[in-house]
Amino acid sequence: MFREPRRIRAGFACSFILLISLFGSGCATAYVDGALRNVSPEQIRKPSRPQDVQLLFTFQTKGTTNAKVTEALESEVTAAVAASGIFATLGEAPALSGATLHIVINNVPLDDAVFAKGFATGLTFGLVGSAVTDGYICTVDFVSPGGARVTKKLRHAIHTTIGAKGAPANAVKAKNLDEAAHTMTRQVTTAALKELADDPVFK
Amino acid sequence: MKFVTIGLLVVCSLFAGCASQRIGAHQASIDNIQLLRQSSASGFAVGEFKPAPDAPSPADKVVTVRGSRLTSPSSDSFASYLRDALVVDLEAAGKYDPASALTISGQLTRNTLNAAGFSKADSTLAAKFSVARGGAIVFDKRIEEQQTWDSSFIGAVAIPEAINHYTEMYTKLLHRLFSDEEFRAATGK
Repeated sequence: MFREPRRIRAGFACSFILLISLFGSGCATAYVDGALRNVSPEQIRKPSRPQDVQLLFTFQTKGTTNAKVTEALESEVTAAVAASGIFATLGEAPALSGATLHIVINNVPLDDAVFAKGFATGLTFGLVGSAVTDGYICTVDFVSPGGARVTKKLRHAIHTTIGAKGAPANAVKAKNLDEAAHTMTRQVTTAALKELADDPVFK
Repeated sequence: MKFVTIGLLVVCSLFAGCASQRIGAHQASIDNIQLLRQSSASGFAVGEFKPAPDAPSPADKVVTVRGSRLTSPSSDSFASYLRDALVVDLEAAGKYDPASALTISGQLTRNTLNAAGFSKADSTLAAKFSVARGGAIVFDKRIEEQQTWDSSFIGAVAIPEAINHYTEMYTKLLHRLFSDEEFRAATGK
């Protein structure tokens, strides 16, 4: 007679433990990959006569525009372009010079087994740690008023560990995921702008 | 009994899926800007955008993805969101002129998002665009954009992907309008 309620209770107990283990198995730690050489704005060659430019920025997730993240990182990209000093002024409206700078950062997964790894970490209360790497491809596309076009493409990455997993090699620990995303954006944008400024077509 | 109740509460709170969120603001697309810059029209004004009279009313207010409600940041109306997206693209291309004799107006005729499937998701967005030149209608056409993409059994993967694809539908619908031969002919000088 009491077997059925006991089974229900046991079932819910198992569900509860599973959920706690899934969602409470430890915090994620973010690391910004160290392979991309850190470029400071001072290292960027400045043109003799910087021109105005219209800046457009898009953040994509697997090639699809991610409007929320675009909004979140837009100021970081604008600040990086302004700090580079290779343009006189920049804005969202068409520039008087007619020049356009389009920056796209595309988040591409480098690991398809993300969910399986996270599930294993959750089930073992974090004893089996997991690490996931997100790749970012930054494309800087400059079109000058004369129609000359310069495109530069650079890659960066953020590593995230959950549970008992050591720090990835050659990576810098970030305070949180938000800081990692902003650091990655600043670094990859500045490095791509240096390549743009070094291109002989860009004047 | 108390344990059962607590268990139920935990399960419900984690899997209720009744979250409501606004989609992100439209971002100007370089492809749309280039198309608009090729237009010989010096500028466009933007008129009223509203849901079509025969369109289902919730489609203008909300679309759902696996229990999550998506709403518009533009006056809680997806027709208004389409209008704002058009203004953003025109402004970025230097073609927005509220005083222009050419006025683009629209009616949202279809707005669907379906991400319930385990492996595929799709969305359809359609609007009837009309262009008036000095009060006379020179263009009136229904334009539709349909997209299908790979989805996932896992909601945490499928829902953000659906939101991104759905938001991008507005860029793609406007791209269809700007590249439409009849639109280009009607709005050219």
